[in-house]
Amino acid sequence: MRNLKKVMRYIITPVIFALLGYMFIIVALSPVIRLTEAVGGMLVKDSAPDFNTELSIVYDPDAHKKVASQEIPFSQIQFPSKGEQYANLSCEEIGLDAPLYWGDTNTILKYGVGQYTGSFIPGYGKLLFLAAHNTTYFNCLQNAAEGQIVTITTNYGVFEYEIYKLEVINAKEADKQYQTWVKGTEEILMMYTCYPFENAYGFKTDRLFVFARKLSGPVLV
Amino acid sequence: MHKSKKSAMLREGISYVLSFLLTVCITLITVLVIIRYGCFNEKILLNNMSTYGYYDFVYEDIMNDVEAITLPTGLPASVYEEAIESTYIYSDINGKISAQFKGEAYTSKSAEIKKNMKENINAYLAGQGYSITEEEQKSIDAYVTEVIKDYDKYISMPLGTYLVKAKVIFDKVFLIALAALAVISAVIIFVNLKLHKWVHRAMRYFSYSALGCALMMISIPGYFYIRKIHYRLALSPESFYHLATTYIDDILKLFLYFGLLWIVVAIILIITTMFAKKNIKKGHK
Repeated sequence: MRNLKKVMRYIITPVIFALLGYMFIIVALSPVIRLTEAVGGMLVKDSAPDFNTELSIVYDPDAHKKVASQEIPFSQIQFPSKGEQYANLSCEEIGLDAPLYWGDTNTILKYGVGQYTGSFIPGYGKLLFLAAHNTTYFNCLQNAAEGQIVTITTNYGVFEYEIYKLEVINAKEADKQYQTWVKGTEEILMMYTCYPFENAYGFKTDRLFVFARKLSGPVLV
Repeated sequence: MHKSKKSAMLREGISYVLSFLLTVCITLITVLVIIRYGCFNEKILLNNMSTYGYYDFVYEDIMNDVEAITLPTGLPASVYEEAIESTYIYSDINGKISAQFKGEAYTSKSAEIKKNMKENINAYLAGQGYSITEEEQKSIDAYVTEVIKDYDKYISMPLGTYLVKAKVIFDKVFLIALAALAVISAVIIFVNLKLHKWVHRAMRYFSYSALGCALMMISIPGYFYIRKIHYRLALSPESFYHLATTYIDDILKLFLYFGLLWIVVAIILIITTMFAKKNIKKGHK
């Protein structure tokens, strides 16, 4: 019994010392602990960060055939997430046929046309702002002209836009003008890329903007 | 109550208090040593980067970024792939960290990369039979400058900069704190030895302190190490995330190793106590 008491002392006493020691540290360093908690709360998330840059596809080329109505409730469509291909962009006259992704990261622009997430999806009635490299998917824009039809096929409908203007704008100027364009009340498709296309190496400060207005397609309500 | 029983209880109470204070002192000494020779250790940081393939992550990040910068320029990937060698990244990162810890300046290989890229671009354009205009030369220069900026960003090693700054502040208090804690611990040990007639009775309290310190070293760091809470840190790019999380892993492991060391010390003290008691009993016989 006496030996058991001695053995228990070697267990209980250090445990009490450890608990009291931590209490002492918490009290003595409470301002530092509070600061660390505040900073840690901002830096530590619910799960490990996802560095997976692989893109995903929600676009189904045949899905729109099942949709009959020209007025589609928002609740019935799947809003795309960043990095998802949600549509296909095409224009037969200039040989444009590219996957359309939500978002415009470097990875997206490697594999298709990217849409600025501050703009709107087809059918919303507002600006669609698309970008791609002039050496890849938007190389064909050098042959774009007024009157040509650009088609965006989504899971919930097919949208046609008629090109009505082409303009070369300085990239910094375009940044300033964007705030005006996005406030427009008409559904406008804007595609832009670096300019000029050929016989020009290095960074380009100008952009070719192709403006197209909606001709046909369902409306999101 | 008998006077002798009262004084025995008082002696025991004082010994427990001194033992607890010794626990706090040796724990603080251990933490200070881990921080000084673990957290601020250049060799541990470099070894960590080598073991966990940090250089490869950085090389991949740089190449992905430069590919995206190059795509709209009309230039082929070979202009940068052949210019940015993985050995440059290895020597620049290591050189930068060593220089930071020594408080010296460091010149990276970016000038060499710039020269290589310009040569590659000129060779490519000559091969195409293309002569560039003055304006195009400016935009090519802007492209190369952007690539170099990106390269410098990835090899800048902000973690090294912060560690060195923290080390400078820490070094100012480290020796003073260590000396003060060592003196306090020595005084506690001396007083505890003087309080007891028999050495083995005092040593019992030292083993409580060693075990208490071991528990403190193992419990909370062990919890963080097992739960991997630091793996949820929102850090980027991916190369820096892996460096920071594996570095924290190594520091937590140091706490656990020192905890085990104090357990060994406690076991030695317990065995020594047992032998000391046996010798006294033999002496009385």
